Amino acid sequence: MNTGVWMILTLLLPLMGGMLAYTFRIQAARIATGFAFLALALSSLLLINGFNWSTRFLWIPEFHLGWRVDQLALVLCTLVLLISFLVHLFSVKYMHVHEHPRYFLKLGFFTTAMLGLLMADHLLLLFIFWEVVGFASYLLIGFYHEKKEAAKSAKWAFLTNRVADVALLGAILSLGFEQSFFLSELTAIPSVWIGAGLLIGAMGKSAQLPFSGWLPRAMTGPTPVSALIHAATMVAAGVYLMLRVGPFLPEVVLTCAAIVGALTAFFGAFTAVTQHDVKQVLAYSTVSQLGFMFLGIGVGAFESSFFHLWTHAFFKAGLFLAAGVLMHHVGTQDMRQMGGLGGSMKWLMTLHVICGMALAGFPLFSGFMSKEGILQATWSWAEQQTAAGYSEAHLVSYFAFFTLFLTAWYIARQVWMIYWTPSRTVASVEGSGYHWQMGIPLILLSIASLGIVQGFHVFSSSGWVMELAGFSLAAHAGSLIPFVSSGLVLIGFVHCYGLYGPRRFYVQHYAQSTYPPSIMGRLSYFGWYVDSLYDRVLSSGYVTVAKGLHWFDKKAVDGTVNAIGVSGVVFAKFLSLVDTYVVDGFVQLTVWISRQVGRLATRIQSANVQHQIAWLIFVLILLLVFLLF
Amino acid sequence: MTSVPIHYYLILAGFLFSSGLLIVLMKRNIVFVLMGIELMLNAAHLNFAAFSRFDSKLDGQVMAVFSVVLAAAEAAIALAILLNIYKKHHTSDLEDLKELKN
Repeated sequence: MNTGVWMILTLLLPLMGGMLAYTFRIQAARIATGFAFLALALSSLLLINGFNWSTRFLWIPEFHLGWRVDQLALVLCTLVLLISFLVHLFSVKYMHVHEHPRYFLKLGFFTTAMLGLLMADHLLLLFIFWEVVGFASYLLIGFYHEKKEAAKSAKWAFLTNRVADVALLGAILSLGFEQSFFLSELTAIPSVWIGAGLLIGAMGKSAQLPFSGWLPRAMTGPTPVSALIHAATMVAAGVYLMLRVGPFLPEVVLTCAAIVGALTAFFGAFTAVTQHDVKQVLAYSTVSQLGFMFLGIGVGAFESSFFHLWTHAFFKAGLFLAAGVLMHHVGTQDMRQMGGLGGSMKWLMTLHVICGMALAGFPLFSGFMSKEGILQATWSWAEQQTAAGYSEAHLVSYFAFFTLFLTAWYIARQVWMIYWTPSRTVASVEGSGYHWQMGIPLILLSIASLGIVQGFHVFSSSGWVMELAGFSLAAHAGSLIPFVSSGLVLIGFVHCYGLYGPRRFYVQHYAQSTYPPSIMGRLSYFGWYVDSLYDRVLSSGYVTVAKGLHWFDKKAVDGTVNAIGVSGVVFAKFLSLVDTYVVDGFVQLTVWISRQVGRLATRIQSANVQHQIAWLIFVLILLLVFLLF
Repeated sequence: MTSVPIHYYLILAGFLFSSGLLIVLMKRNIVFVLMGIELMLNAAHLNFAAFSRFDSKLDGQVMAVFSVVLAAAEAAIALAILLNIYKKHHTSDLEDLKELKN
């Protein structure tokens, strides 16, 4: 068989698994997981054997769509399938059995859609899968749809993405008609507007700053879904799009991407610092790390961005799965009701800490290597910009460095609050209830978060995966930046320990705390009030406009409709009058005439003899007149 | 001898006929109707006689005499019928004699 068949099979296997699971219901989890594993194996084989595939097919007359699977796409496909398989495996025990068929169908649907997005060469095809992925995300966020909060969050996420997608669609269409619809045929994009549209679309999918609100809300979905979709794969679709079109974008757009990325990275980390919900911390952390990837793209370090996408997928999925296990045991996701769990769950703590170290960017862990590339590229970009006269460019790298400090800070806080501080548990902690289906994915993801696994040299910013995906290795060496960043991470840990270590003030009152009273604390806890801003300004403005339109509708449109209705009735009445008196009148007249004629004729046969004689005479006279004249 | 011009006779005959016709059509009593018929018949006789005055053969007068005899016979029969009708229906009013209608 040729490569294309294998590719299409890889694409469809997860969906097939989900559909079979949904159809047969019993053993749904095994079927779906088995199919996910098959797809993973197939994709890995294709990757190892270095297959590339490109094809075009006729969609509507004179309009071709196309697939292209190059190394980058195949590496990402394998990543998606790997995380997807691990999440499938994890969900076997995590989800209730009666939820399995529906859950695995949606999961398989999402995986196939995501693979389609990565394999698409034609921008419209990519956009279709982009939307399908968004829809799958909507389905999975609202998985517990009987909860009002989940339904609301799903709607919020869906609508926020649609706003950004309008810009993306506009950009794709104008790009397609001006240049080419095919990613493989792209050349430098001269138009800033097209570039901005593509950037906005990517920002929506990757929850960058103006659109960031949906990702923390998406945490109402099942935790494995958060690990797969809202940490490792779907949110990285925006970064993937930027990786594809980035080299062709105008300078201005890239600078915007860098600024947005740095701001979002800072915003996410800053907000994560005060959250109480385990998953909220991780969600804002995802926003922050996606900001790092955007920053990397903005400063031109595509290979480092890609590398960060890769490592982030592992450690963030690991963190989410760890949070899932935690929630399974404690029965809550509020850190205020945890603490002191390190004793009973040592293995979980170890894995959580490994993934957390990778997230913080501690040396020897994968996150350190991938962030290093981005930081170095940012620094040299800022140097270049300063040389060109834009000294403000250094602000961007300062933001990035400060984010590094905050990242270490909030993840250290999370680990301390969950495992090391005195116990604040309300419900009694259940036995560990160890399942290998939940353990294996976590262990694998933690191993993948180690630096040795990812790179040739744990202190360089290059990994073997960059070569595999067809990027050149990052060539930054001999700078002070690794030391600075490691130092910042350490300071973050220490500073956090100073505030949240055992027997500290915050810790003793933590169970009752809501949010820090200071302005900074409130700003952080409420996420810079971005959501409130949406509610107050956009929603209320929208509602006002809608109300105005409603009023206009009621008064003007309905009035017109009513007037038309009334005039119709009046006209009908008039017509009926005409009918009754004119048309019917004619008919009645005819009837009357014929009746009169009939009466006249009946007189001839009257019973009265004299009438008959009179008629006789009359007819006789008529005859005489007729004969004589 | 100056003779009476023909149209005098005709006018008289016309008057008689018209009177007879009117009586036939208007009168309700059956006997009156019969008398009206006699009047009309006599108007016809008068015409016969009048025209015959200007005819040397006198065929008209013969015809008139013949017709008078016939009229007498007819009147006798008609009166007999009327009498029978009266006996049977106890009325001589034409309005009441509408056997056909009911």
